[in-house]
Amino acid sequence: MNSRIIYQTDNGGVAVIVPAAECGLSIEEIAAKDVPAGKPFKIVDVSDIPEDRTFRGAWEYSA
Amino acid sequence: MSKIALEGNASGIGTFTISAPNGNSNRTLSLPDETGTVLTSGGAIDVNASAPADSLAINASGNVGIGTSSPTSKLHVYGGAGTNIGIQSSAGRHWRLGDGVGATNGSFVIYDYTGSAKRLEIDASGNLLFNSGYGSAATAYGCRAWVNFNGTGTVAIRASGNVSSITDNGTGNYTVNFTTAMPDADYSVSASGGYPPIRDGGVYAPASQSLTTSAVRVRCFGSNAPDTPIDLSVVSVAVFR
Repeated sequence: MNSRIIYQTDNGGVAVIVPAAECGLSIEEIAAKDVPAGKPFKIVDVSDIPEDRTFRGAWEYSA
Repeated sequence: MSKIALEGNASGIGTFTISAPNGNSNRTLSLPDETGTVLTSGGAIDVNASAPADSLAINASGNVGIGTSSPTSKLHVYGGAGTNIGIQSSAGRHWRLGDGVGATNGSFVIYDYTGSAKRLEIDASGNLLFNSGYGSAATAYGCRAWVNFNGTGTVAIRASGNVSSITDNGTGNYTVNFTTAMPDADYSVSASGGYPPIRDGGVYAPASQSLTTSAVRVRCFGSNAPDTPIDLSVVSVAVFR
């Protein structure tokens, strides 16, 4: 899958959900299951996620 | 179409002899006796005169019963304790498949009759027992979820089983989400990782973030700085229950 699900963590950072292609679920089904209940989320293209993780802890979520 | 009627005394067994044109001796087909049993002998189909009723039956649906006159599947084998089907090769071994063969009644067993050993069993509770180098057939405990992923650059899953996704929570910090939840949180996690060929590493499931039925969180660190989380290029996690 070339999609990712992102949501804001409780400490203000960003969590990125990487779907497993072999699970048989759609990205929407994965979001419904794996995003913590009540958390707003976005489905984005993998290219929208920075490859450089040097400052991974400084990533911020923008609605 | 013409019909031939043979009449005779209901007692005893009538004999209708067919001369084998090129054979050394005649073959016989015995007419049904008073119990309806048809007997043959000496041919490709050989029915012993002492064979019990319902030894072989074919019902109106074409189902074949062995030991039952009411077969409910294409081949239905019925009998008492230890009922089994034998498969024997003159060049190999003699196997038996059945219920309670060399085990408790109610277990499906593949039994090595030549070696006098149970090789595989599914017990009445659904547990699978096999040997596979263990030494004897014993309950096998399954890996209920597993994943191999790259935690560097664009984090990506290489392969997985019963894992719907991983959540990248931060540097060296991931949550493995299960497609089908565990029955409870009393499972065991085995994890490893590294940054080959540059660095060995470790992966652990922190006790401070307890296991849940739906996911397990893992942390990664390098061998040179075990207290500092890092991203590893190979992270493997397996869950056993």
